[in-house]
Amino acid sequence: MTLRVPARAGDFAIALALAGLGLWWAWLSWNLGLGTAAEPGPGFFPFGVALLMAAGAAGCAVRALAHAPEGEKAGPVTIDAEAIKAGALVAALCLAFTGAGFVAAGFAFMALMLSWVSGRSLVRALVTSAIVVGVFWVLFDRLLGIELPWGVAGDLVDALRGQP
Amino acid sequence: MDALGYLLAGFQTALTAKNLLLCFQGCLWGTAVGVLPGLGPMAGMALLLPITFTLDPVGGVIMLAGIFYGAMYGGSTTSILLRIPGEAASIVTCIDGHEMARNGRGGAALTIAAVGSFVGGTLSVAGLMLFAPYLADVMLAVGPAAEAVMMAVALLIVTAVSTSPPVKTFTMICAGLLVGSVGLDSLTAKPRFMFGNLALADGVSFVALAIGLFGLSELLMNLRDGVTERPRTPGLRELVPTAQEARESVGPTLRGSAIGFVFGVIPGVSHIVSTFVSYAIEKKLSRTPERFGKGAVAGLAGPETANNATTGSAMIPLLVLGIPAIPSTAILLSALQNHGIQPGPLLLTEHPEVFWGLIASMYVGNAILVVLNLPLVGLFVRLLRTPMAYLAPIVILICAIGVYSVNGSGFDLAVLFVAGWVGYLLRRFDYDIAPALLAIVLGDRLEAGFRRALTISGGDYAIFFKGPAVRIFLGILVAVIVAKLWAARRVGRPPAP
Repeated sequence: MTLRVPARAGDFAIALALAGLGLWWAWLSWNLGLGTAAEPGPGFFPFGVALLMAAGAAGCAVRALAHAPEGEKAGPVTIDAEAIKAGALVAALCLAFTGAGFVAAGFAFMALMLSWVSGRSLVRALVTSAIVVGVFWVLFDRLLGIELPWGVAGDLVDALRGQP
Repeated sequence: MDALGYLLAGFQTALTAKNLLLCFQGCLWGTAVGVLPGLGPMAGMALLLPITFTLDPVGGVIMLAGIFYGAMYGGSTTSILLRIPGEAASIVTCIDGHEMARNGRGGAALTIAAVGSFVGGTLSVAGLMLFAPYLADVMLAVGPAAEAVMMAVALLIVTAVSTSPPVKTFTMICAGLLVGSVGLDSLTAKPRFMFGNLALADGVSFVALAIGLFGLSELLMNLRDGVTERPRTPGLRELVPTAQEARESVGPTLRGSAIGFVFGVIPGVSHIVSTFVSYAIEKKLSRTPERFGKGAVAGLAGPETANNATTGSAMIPLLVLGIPAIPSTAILLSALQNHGIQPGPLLLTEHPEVFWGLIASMYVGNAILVVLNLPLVGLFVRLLRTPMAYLAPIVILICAIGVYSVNGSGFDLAVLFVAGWVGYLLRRFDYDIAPALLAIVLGDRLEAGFRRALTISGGDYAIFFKGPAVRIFLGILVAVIVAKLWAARRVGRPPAP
């Protein structure tokens, strides 16, 4: 699952993406209204910066084509399987944090990180996750007063208690 | 009230039980993140930034400053015992510090590093105390054009001294300025780049960006890394250096203090550069340069002192000019702004309790670090043995809680995820993302100064090249670029760790 991206091609692609972003931002800024040099509008400053960014990124693209990477940087850039899996789990955590609630989302995230990403046994992952999430809930929600979302877990508890 | 009176009042603030505890917590957390490879001062400060919002401004800044210099300090432990730099500024410490440990002098190396860090940190705070008020008086006379030039020069200096190719750093700075322009326009209140999302009215959450770009991307980068060597914890008796080792460390410690102080004022990667410069100078001055790389005391004491001396002087541009010289101080700037305090020349007159309280707390913090680091070295070594498999998900959960706690917003969590992945990808392809964060923080003031100056001049761009202040800033830019080119020719490549 590890991705291997040729250093030169990856560098060029990122530079092109940044250049495109710069040009798109320049277009958005143009639509905001540039005003005049004596009375600059809200789009004046970002328009100039966006063009500079596009120019800088174009320079990066040219550099990627003109300079062959040397030494350690000559090989392909690897994006580890662990990073891809962890990135996907972080996305799921961020999406589920408010909806499913901290306890459910945090427990599932921690357990999957330990078992799926790091290859720890399921029992160890479940026990560790329960302890960590419990400690964090007490520490942050109860002691530090940060109101962590309960989400569906809270609704379930309310339903079991017979509260609306 | 004179400076001494203000300093005494600062000590009264810093020595209250609450602030002392916050300073201790900051130093402890900072040392812990400094010890852990992959979590530097930036990530440590970003992670605790939301918690400081619940504190008063002085307490919050004291805690963050404690993390900052604690992390600078903690990085030396892994460098000496394991040859793993906890953060970039500790790379040079690896060379002779680890060789001393291999020669059975690990305990003495830790003490020399600790004492050097204390001396460097304390002397640089004294320098900050002496120079900052005078610089603030001068800065009060600066107009919007000079302010805009000053910000632009700071960002260009960062481009010049960054470890990434300048064209990449320049692109990152522009990207940071654009991200910083999201939200309501500060002069016309017109929505910009919000796409109808009211959560962006105050701009993209700085906390989510900082934690994502540094904390999360750092963890993704280090998921596969683990500590394979089991470090030996030096006993208390081994911590005492011999008389000869102590004598050999005096000169490098004092020179390192001066080098660190001077480099700390320059925006960019000052704390990293200062360690390499200190190492090169010590090697040049040494009667036995052949010992360098084989456990020379001077090769450890000089760079380690320089590294910590930058922490005090890096506060000068932050507190007096409102410009973070290094990315870590950008987090401090954000914390102050969140409390409604704008660092700059007026800070000393409008919020003297913050300025002098912070200075006094840095003296106290440096003393705490010496007391903390040496006896607790065994604890930090054990912390170092925590497998990344457990550490990463725990820290990611703390990241998510930290970001959510600021606004209770699910959107900020989405920003965290996107920033984490963007930061990870950019870093894999050699883009330095720290300048982007500086640009996000400075962008608002740069744009306001730029547009005001153009309005005053009736659209005449020549205003950005007129006046003594502007010429001084442009002169500084030229001097830094010339110094960078000169250093590249003289020193050549930095010593390999």
